Amino acid sequence: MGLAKSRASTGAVLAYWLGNPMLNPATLIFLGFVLGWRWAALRAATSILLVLGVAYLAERFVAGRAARPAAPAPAVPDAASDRRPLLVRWASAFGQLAVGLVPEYFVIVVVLGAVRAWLFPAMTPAIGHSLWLIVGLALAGTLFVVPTAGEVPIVQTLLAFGLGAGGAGALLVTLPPVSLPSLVMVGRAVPARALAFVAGSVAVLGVLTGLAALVLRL
Amino acid sequence: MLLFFLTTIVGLYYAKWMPYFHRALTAAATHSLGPSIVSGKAAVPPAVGWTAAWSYTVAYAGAVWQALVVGLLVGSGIQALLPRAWLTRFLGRAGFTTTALAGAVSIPSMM
Repeated sequence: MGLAKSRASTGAVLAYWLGNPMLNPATLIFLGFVLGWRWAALRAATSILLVLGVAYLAERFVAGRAARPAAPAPAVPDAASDRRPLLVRWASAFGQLAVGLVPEYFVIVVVLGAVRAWLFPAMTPAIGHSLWLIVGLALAGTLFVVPTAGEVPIVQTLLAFGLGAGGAGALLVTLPPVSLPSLVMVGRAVPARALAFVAGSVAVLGVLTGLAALVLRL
Repeated sequence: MLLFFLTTIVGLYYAKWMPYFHRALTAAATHSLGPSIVSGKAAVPPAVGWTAAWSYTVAYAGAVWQALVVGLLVGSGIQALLPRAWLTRFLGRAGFTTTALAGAVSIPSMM
């Protein structure tokens, strides 16, 4: 959000936002130790595709549709023209970000936490290998919110109860990058069309990664 | 500008680099990162309701609060401590190079 308010490009904002959880080297190392290095490699490949490809295409997608110059950006006080002392400016920007983003974000976390049983059905080997589950988990993973690297123990636990490689691949790619609260938050700074494109791409990449995991016999 | 980079590096070291280094050692030794935040050690998450909402929010907040504070400090620092022209030069222009640069910058912050 700070980047966006300082007028970074849409592609840059999206790439930074998606790259943080997806290109996270610590998560890839955790994944390698917990599920194996082939899973880490598959996740790394999809992440690069998402951060470079989808963020870039989303920017192009917005630019292509907006033939007219984009609506004038909201007036943001330029740091250089602001005469207040540095630390006051920093504290004020901190307060604005915290009050503007955190409460709304946590309201959605509460709701998602309440309904998580609807998004993640009881895992059994009988449903764990079905193809429809890959699609269902890709959609659930796109909406649901997890802490950094939280997807690794989630997938490990579900695998132990009978989830197949397809569903595991879908969750590893869709849980970290976007979620309902983060989409709402970034929606303050990025055009809705670009975000819809990103969310749709994450879900589709999740299904494709699930299928790739099946083909690779992970 | 020095203040910004100092805050970013100290903050990330405290909230991310140091704890993740220790978690990596644990993961290497035990092949696990602990229970799932969705369902713990069970096959099914808790039933829909207030208990599930509260327990998830507490677990989530407990896991992210340090990173959240650092993220807000860095995000507001970008606005208040970095010269606007400097940021525009590196990350302002639309295009693939800018997108790739921002993606690369995201790697060490691991948020």
